[in-house]
Amino acid sequence: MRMEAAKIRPGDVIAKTLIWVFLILVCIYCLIPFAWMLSTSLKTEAEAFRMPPTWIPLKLTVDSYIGIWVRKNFGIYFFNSTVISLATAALSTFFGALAGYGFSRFFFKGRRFLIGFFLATQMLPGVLLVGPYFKILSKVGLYDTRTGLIIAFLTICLPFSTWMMKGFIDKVPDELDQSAMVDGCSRLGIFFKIVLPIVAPGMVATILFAFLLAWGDLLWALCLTSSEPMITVTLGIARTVGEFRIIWPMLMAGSLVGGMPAIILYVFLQRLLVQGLTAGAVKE
Amino acid sequence: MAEIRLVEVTKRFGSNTAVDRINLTAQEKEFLVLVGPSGCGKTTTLRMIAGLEETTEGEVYIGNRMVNNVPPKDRDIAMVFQNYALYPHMSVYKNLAFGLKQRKFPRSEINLRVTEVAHMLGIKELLKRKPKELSGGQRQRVAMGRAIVRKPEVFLFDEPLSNLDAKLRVQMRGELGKLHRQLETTIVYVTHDQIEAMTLADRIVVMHNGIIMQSGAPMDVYNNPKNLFVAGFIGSPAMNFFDVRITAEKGTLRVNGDNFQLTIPAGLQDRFLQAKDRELVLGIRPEHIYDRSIKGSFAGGEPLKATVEVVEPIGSQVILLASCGSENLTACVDPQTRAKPNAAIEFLVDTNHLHLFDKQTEKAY
Ligand SMILES: Nc1ncnc2c1ncn2[C@@H]1O[C@H](COP(=O)(O)OP(=O)(O)O)[C@@H](O)[C@H]1O
Ligand SMILES: [Mg+2]
Repeated sequence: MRMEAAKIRPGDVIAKTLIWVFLILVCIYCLIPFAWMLSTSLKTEAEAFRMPPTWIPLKLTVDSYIGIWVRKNFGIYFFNSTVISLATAALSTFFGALAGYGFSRFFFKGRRFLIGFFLATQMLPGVLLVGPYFKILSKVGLYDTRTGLIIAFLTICLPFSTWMMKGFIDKVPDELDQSAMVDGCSRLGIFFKIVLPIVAPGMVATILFAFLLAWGDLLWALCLTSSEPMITVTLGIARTVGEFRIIWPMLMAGSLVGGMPAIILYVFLQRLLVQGLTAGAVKE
Repeated sequence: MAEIRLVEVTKRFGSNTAVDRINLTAQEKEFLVLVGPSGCGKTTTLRMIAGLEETTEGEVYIGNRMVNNVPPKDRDIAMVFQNYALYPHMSVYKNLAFGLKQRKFPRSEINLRVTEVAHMLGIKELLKRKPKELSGGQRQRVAMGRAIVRKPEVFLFDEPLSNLDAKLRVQMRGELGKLHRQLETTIVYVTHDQIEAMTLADRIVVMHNGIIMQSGAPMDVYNNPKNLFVAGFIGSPAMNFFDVRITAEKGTLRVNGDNFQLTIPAGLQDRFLQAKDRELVLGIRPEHIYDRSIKGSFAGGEPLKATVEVVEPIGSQVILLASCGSENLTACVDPQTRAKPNAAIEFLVDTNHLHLFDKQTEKAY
């Protein structure tokens, strides 16, 4: 046997080692907060305040995980967040696709301006819009409703979804539309039967974006809802802080559980993010 | 079955005129081929027939119906796109069935037709596959099958073979011809390949810059090109052109080129006499130039001296690129030729097949 290893130069080894060390450090940096959350969530309230802190809880307990459902209304919060996020994701992606199809296929006056304008709205910080939205929703009686919150989120998500869906639809050759048209399909038929199925994998990205935006939001929920039955997960977690005291284990348990759906959704949909949406459709 | 008629049809994209007042009729059951160089407006013409593009001016008729305002789906046409445009998310079966399904055919009928067409095109084994699992030739068949299942009045083909490799192209060309005889429908077929046009067409329409330069039976167009453009476009290798003038001496007409002189045969004299005193372009097809040194190949004709530059044997023939004075010429001669590069050669020109064009108007005499 020849010694292949002999060919590796010492410089390579050092460089490789350094890269690994660096990457491991970054990983630790990123993961420590989560480890700390997990550790704290499994402690008793008293131990959470112990100095010096312990990494491994002395007395393991899942009381906090039970507490958030029993002593707090996490069931309601989860329901609200789920409904709001799913609706935001579904609606913004669907309407984004419709609008994106229009932008992709129809050349009307002011088209370029409108596309640019759509994107420009993304540059506005959301905080600027909260005030006006509060006013508007109050006026039309949608303050402190899930619908109101969904509408608000759609404002933020739609331009982005539209822009992204336009990008995906642009990749679907126009000849497919025309072929379907000759085959007897209406415009809407083409959208549903040809374009939408082809860009489906691309929609994952916009669904994720909208879902995560709605799920992770605190500002809008804080400003546009007030009563307990309308509270979302993030708001619920925030409210465990400072009523009388901070129950750290419960706060951490809530945060971890609250983060789960987003993670699960991501892992689930990420596999659908496949390349080559239109493979085989046309000969380039 | 239907006839297609375009009357004074113009299409402008902004200030760019893609199709310029063309008049065109495809007879019932005719295989009509639109041929011309890239960008001459073939696709635009076809798309106006399909209804995928509005006409700027003029009328389109299918059968006796003016269809200017009829959407594509109601024109009873089927179109095969240059890039196939198969639905990538559907199986071959579903691709074929899609048009019928849109038109609410009963499932049993759809099944029957799809099976029949798949059999006809030899793609029965592929019905369950997705387009991405097919080869170029197979995709092409599916694209064609998708048009055929609908049994439309009119087929429109936009360069359907241009994405295939040479061998497959020849094979599919043969099958297309067979298909036309089987289906007995009107076909309008677009191609930039003049050989495809010549072999497939009942009638060819040569286009250039959005204008119809000539239409007619392939061999008619080949034998009697009406202008310089058609003469140069149809035929491969292309026709040779020489700047000439005509002189008359003692009742015989001669063409005088830069470095040669040919006597015009009696049959052509009357026609060419009108061209006297004009600046002219003489056209000679490469296949009408013979190597004089080959015994028994061609007698008669007029001699033409030249210098061989390149010898290209292609098997059945040898293509000679030569220079004659300041002009270049191409000749397709018998493979027995012993022509060598940089050697002088004496050709014989079959003067019965001379073409004469006016240099200014580019029209044939
Ligand atoms: N959608 C369009 N917008 C603007 N110009 C176009 C469009 N389609 C075609 N053209 C122009 O019209 C002319 C003819 O095009 P086309 O019909 O595609 O030619 P061909 O099929 O003969 O190659 C070209 O100059 C082309 O640039
Ligand atoms: Mg074209």
